[in-house]
Amino acid sequence: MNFRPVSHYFESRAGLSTAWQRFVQFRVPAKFRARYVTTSMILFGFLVEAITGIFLWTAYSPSAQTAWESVYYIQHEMFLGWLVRGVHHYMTDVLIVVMVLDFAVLILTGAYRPPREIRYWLTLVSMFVLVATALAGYLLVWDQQNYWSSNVRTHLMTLAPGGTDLQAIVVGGAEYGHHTLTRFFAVHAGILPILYVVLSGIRGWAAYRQDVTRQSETRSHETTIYYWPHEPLKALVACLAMLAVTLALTIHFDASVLADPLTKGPLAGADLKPPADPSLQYPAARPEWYFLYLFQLLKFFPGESEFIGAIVIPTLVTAFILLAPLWGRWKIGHWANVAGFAALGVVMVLLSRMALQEDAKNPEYHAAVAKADADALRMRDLIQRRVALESGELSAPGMISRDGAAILLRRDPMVQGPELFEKHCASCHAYYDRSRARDDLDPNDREGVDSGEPAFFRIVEHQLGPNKERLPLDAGLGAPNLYGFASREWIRGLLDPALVSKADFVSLWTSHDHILAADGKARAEGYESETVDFGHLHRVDAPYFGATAHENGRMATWVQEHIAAEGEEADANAAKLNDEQVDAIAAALSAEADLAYQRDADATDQAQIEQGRRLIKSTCATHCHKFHEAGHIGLGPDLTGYGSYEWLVGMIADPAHPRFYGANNDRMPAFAADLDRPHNNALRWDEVATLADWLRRDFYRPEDERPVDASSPQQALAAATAALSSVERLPRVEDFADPLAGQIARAEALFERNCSACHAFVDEAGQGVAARVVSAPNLHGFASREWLADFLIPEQMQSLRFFGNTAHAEGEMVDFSESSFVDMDDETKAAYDAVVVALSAEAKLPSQADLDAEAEEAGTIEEGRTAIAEFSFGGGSCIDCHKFGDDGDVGTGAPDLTGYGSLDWLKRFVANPAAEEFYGADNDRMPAFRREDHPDLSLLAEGDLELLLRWMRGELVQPSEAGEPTAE
Amino acid sequence: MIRKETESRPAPVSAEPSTAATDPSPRRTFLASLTTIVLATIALGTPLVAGVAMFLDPLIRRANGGGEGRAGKLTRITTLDALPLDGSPVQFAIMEDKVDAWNREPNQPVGSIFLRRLANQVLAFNAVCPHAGCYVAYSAAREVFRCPCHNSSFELDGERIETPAMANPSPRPLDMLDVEYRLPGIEKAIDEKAAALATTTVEVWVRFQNYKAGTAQKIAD
Repeated sequence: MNFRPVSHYFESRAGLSTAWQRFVQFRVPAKFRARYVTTSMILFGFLVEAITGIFLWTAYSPSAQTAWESVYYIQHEMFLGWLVRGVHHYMTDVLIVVMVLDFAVLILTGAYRPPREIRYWLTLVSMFVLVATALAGYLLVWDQQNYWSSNVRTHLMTLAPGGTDLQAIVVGGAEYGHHTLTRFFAVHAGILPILYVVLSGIRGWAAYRQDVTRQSETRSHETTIYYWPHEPLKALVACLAMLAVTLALTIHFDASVLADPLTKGPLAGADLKPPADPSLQYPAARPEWYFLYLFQLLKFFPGESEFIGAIVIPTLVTAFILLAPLWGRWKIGHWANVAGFAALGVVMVLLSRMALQEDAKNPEYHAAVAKADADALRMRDLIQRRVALESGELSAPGMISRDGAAILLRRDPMVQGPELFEKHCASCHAYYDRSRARDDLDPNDREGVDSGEPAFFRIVEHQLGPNKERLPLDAGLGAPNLYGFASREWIRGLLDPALVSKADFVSLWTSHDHILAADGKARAEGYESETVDFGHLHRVDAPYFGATAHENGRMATWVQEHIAAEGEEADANAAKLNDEQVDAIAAALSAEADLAYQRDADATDQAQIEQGRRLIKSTCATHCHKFHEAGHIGLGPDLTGYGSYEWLVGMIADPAHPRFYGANNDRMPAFAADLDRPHNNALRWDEVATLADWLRRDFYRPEDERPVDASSPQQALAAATAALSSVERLPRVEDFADPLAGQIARAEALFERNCSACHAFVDEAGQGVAARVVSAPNLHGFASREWLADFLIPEQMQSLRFFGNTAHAEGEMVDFSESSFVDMDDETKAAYDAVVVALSAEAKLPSQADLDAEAEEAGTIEEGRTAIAEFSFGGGSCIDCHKFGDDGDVGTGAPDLTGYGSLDWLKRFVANPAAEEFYGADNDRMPAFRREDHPDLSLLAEGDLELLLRWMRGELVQPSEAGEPTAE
Repeated sequence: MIRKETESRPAPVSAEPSTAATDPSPRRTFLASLTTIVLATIALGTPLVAGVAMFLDPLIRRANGGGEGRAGKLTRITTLDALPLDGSPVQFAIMEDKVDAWNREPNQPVGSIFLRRLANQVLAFNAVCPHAGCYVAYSAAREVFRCPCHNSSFELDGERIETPAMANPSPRPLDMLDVEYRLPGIEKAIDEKAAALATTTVEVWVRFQNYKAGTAQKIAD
């Protein structure tokens, strides 16, 4: 076949053959020149970067929500994407090394000296352009490492004169964002490479011109050889070596990657840290290795002098490098330059080494890198998460939402749960596995952290701040240990008399943490001479209520009294619940939580759970707790759905809500009480969701049989809304236009919530607040003449209206009234009437003010008072049991009648009915509504108590109604 | 070939050096040239091949069955009551979970259909014109579906309209889609008669599917 016409066709148009002829005939000096090789290597490196770069370009998407995501996709999903990206990344490193070599040869051979200084400067600018291209490229990855190290670079820019404007131009605004990426991308893939090509063209042309000129000048005494093919062959061998090194770096020198490139490859290749998160500083962010010396240099210039390290010194060095040819023309100047560059190189190497060594010795650096690497792997799991569907099958991979990938990590309970717990909960709550010996827990133990269960001391350590100076204060760590909250073991521990109020004070100097221990020891020695209480040097380790206001509260007391301690004979006290019963209660209560990790046990132990439910209804839900339809809200937390997602979210949102601890809440802050205005809350809804998920261990684990997804902020808000609206909040006076109406509404609600479990407040017509279980007197008209007159009649006293369902139904007062107020003679009847009038007058009821005044005038009151003190009824005198004014004594189990029913008397009575002046030991179940030791923890706030009592006494009446009694 | 020519011809450049000692023998030069070219191919070919492989990822993905094709997924569109009794077509968007490279978003528009309620059945058409993939529009005035791109027109039952005055470039009628009727909350289809007689709400479900454009046969995409 004759190709000649074809080749002639192309030749006549393109002249390629002629160009080729020229190339083949081109001659170069025979003397070997290292820079021919290094220059070719740089060109080769640039070509490889260009080729891989263009293909990466086809898959990269520069925006804050897609940059990392597209790089992830290239790395982990696209066929051989990791290889292309790895070569693109590592070739940069190799290229930098070759450029340094090239530069060293350039200096050593003196090729920078005039008349070649222009080429020298061009070389410098080309190097600068290549390095700048690389720097711009790193940010495009948009991961934590590159985001934060770029951030430092652009911030340092502002130190230069006019730097703020420069930074704004580079960053594309005040802060990093979409335009930072689009700009960096254009700079990295367009502007700088084009600039480099132009510069290389100029340089090549200059070199060619020079060589040609020299050839014509020197041909007589210099041996020359053909350039083609042996010179390119030498260079190519070097280039292939570059490629080999790059590929070896890309597979991390691990030949097994070659065996299984599709699964192992993505894990090798260029590093991909977790996505950039502006809210989360990455403490291990470091510049690339060829800038480590600058990074180290900056450490020597604290504060304002940073300017020197970041700007002045680099400028001086740059000036030296640029001006070197000026004096290099003389021999002495050349040697000075060689020495200068050598010294510069040595300083750079030493500084870099220092930086590496400092990091190597810094455990925080290693921890940050390890965490970032673990998070990066976690990202992969999260993106590829396949959760269990209702049908039992696994869903398609969850991938990334349009909000970007960072949100996946930021909302991952496994990663963020411990962080949030440390930040918001760990100043009071502990979180560690009590079944593991404390010595097993290593503060640097990542194992526990990765499975969502951080080691105890990691959290304690956090209390101390970065310098480990701040020590936990006395009760700083006293709230319940939330490890396994609402699990059977956890509840079983709460119901253990030995644990419920247990509090260990752990001395710091025996602590596992050696820094803590040393610190504690030093302080202890310092204090030894003085007699100082070391309480504040101790960490409190209380599994449940041991270091809270509930330590001796109703729950702890109940557990002590009603549950058999370990080893205690169950039949020693028949009133106590035995192990089997307590286990059943724990199982039933824990089943309320519907914990994923306990689901199997919940399913198999149905009978036990059913038994437990009955026990809860008959023991827990009688007075204190609500449990489904049994019991009522008021004293203790609602046990319905205890520990469930909804319950827990509600508890975190507002522990002082009546459904939870109400007024009994001990210092736990409301983290998200405002359902409508999230900005008012300490935690955002996504954070509440994350915490609740983490505490319940509801987060994605690929190895789970039925993997679950984390809950969303919307779910948390919905759960909180449901949890907090299942019980209404007390009405607030200020919500009403008419203050009096507001007071009445609130007082009535207070009565309903605090008293109506036992007491009714119902008038003759049946209007008012009914008691849920009538087990205390109807308080409507309490201490009025009618109320007292009825009360003293034995049948009435024993009826449900008064003592019917109480311990007093068979008490001394009933006996007394039976022997005194039945079949009274006239004298007794008169005394009885006077007693009723006088006693009722003690209350100073506003509705009876006129009647009291009349009686005072008529002397009936005085008569009654005398009768109380002196008259002997069938059963004896009132003051045999009661105190009244100066007569009688307290301490008999009968209330003091002085000021009976008055506001002050009622306040004291309700505050503590079991006080000596009232019922003492005879008090039947009525709680003390105020606490002297913890006024803030009282069941009723002082103002609410007064409001409630004034309402009961009929003081809160609309003026028109108030007029009615007198009109009648 | 070219090499040979180069060797046999006298060099056109006159700057022939006087020293002949370095002049390589043609054979050695040929081998060296060949090696150089081979090595250059390897050096630049490696990144190029890797890059091309990455670029062809969509093909590899498809061959591996990756990138979930929408193989006729049943979607709840509306209720029977919401469709006009006169049989005029109503357009609905098809919302599905959409996978776009690294993104997965729920409820993204992936297509559009027309529903028509007839006496005892509901007809569903894919709104994509079988000619070139534009969306047809319903012209209420003329009671036809018309494609805005190349004027294909279709009857209300989806059949092509071909008039001497205006050629119809569409190779086939509008693509009809499967319709199911369901009672709310029950994952089982009821038949057309039951749907027509039902006194409660009846949901209309459609199996959404795209078909290859430009062919006379309906070939699922």
